Amino acid sequence: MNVLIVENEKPAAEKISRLLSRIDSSIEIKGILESVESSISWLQNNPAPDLILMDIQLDDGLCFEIFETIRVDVPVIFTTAYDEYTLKAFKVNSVDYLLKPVEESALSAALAKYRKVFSGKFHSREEIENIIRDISGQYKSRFLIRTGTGYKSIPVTEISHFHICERSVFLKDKSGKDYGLDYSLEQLQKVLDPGKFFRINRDCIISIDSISRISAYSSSRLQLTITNEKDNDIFVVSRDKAGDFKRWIDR
Amino acid sequence: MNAIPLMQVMNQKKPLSHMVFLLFSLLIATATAYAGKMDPSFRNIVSAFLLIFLQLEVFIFFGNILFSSVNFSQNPGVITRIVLLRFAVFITLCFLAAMILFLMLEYALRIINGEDFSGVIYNFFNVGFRSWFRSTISGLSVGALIFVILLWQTSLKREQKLREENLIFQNQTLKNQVNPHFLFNSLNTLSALIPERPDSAERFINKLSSIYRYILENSSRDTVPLKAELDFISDYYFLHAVRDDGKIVLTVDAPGAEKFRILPVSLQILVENAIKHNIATRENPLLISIVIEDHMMIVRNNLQKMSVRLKSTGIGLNNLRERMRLTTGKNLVVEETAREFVVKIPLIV
Repeated sequence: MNVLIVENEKPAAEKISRLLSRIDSSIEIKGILESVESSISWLQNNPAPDLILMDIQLDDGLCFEIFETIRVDVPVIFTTAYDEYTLKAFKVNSVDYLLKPVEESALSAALAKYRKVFSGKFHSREEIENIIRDISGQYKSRFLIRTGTGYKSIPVTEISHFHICERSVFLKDKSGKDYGLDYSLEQLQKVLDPGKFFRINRDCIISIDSISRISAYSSSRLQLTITNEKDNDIFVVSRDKAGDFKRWIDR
Repeated sequence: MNAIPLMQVMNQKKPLSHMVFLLFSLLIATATAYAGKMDPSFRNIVSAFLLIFLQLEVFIFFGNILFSSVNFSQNPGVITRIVLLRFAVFITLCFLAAMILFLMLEYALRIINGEDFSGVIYNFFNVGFRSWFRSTISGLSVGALIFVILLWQTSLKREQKLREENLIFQNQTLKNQVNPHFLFNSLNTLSALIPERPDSAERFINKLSSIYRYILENSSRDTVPLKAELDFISDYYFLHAVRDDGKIVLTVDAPGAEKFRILPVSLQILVENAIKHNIATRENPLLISIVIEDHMMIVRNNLQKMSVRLKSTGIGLNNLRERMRLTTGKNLVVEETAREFVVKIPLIV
């Protein structure tokens, strides 16, 4: 079995390596990575391992940022010392984890479980998002979009608005490019920072910094002029959202 | 007697308190009139009411200025001297204010009624002085009462706030005392050291127990010797350094530390915050420096913020700030530039 270790503390990485070789000498450790950045780079440039043992807190951020940036189709066992928010988030999202100090028996049991299940458990995007939100208290900072050739990661600051077209949800970035998204607008509302994004009507969520003008519109509605958008007919704040919108803009 | 509502009434920023003063003045004015002390004419009642109301506002204004900023943590002799001095100033100001208000009112009344106002001052000092003095003295007794209440309120409020903040700190520190995140990470490190490097393991254990002993013994104290806190920080850093292999660098420059005292565990909170919020890699290590400058402890780190990090209760810095203010009356200084984060802790001599 090929295992990748993502752990930024040297003694802890040594310990896991030692335990792994004790449990099963055929396990080959393909790499030990210390940061989100180096992990993303390694996973993009190397054949996928069979299993990843991953620590939560890395040198440059939380390990979940890896999952927000690239697609990881490898089962992962997380290791954590103690953090009440993390443990709760893991339990709620039925994520497997090992507590530090890592016990050989616990690690052995986890490995056995992964060997049995042929395709391992991949974490759904929603699970990862829920976990990040629960343990960091922060909103989504980027979206992973599937493009023709692979994946692209778009930071939230680059987003102009989200809209529905022919029953599908699209993300439009500030340069005008449209990307199909596998989210409903309701789901988006849950993961986006409500201070920066507002759902103006049934079909659209806009980002506050793409609004260039607000004008009055018939029937107590408001029309928004969105930067780089010519067709302003869809950017109408519905009547029942108009009050909330004005309050939101005022903040 | 529940002190806090009274304190809120004294806070002149609230419209409610002004309403209370108005009603109170009206009450006293009408009471005085009907008690026979003066002719209960409309004009008299109104002028008495105005006088009392204005005096009340002015006295309380002075009282708030003079007494809400007294620092009660200095030694009693100093406090007594300060309080007496301020009291003397308070009485003088109130007296003068009363006089000026009375004269202004007399002038105003005369002008309104078209009477001759030229002899007002002369009149005041020779004829009306006795009765004015009597009523002013009673007014000032009220002033003295208000002063005592304000003083008492301030010290009560401060005591309560300090107790609250200490409770929060201790409760949080109870978790911090154990600091489970740090503890289990350290134990994990220890279990890695034991088979491979038993000497390191032993040293590690010694430092770990020193840390916990320090926290348990000192969390409830108001201040500790700076030297003790610096030794504690150096142990704490040692434990971190074994884990992060040079990615976090702490330098301490504190000549003359024996002269000072500091809030316990304060430096550790700041160092821990720096570690929690910032990226620390081999290419871009986190550099934390602790120096003494002008009777302040300066904790500085290069800013390389993590964009996403673990949720924390955030009690650390704010609680430290509050405890600092309540214990010493001085303020923490926090400065954030594009490249660094600086916190300055005032030291206690």
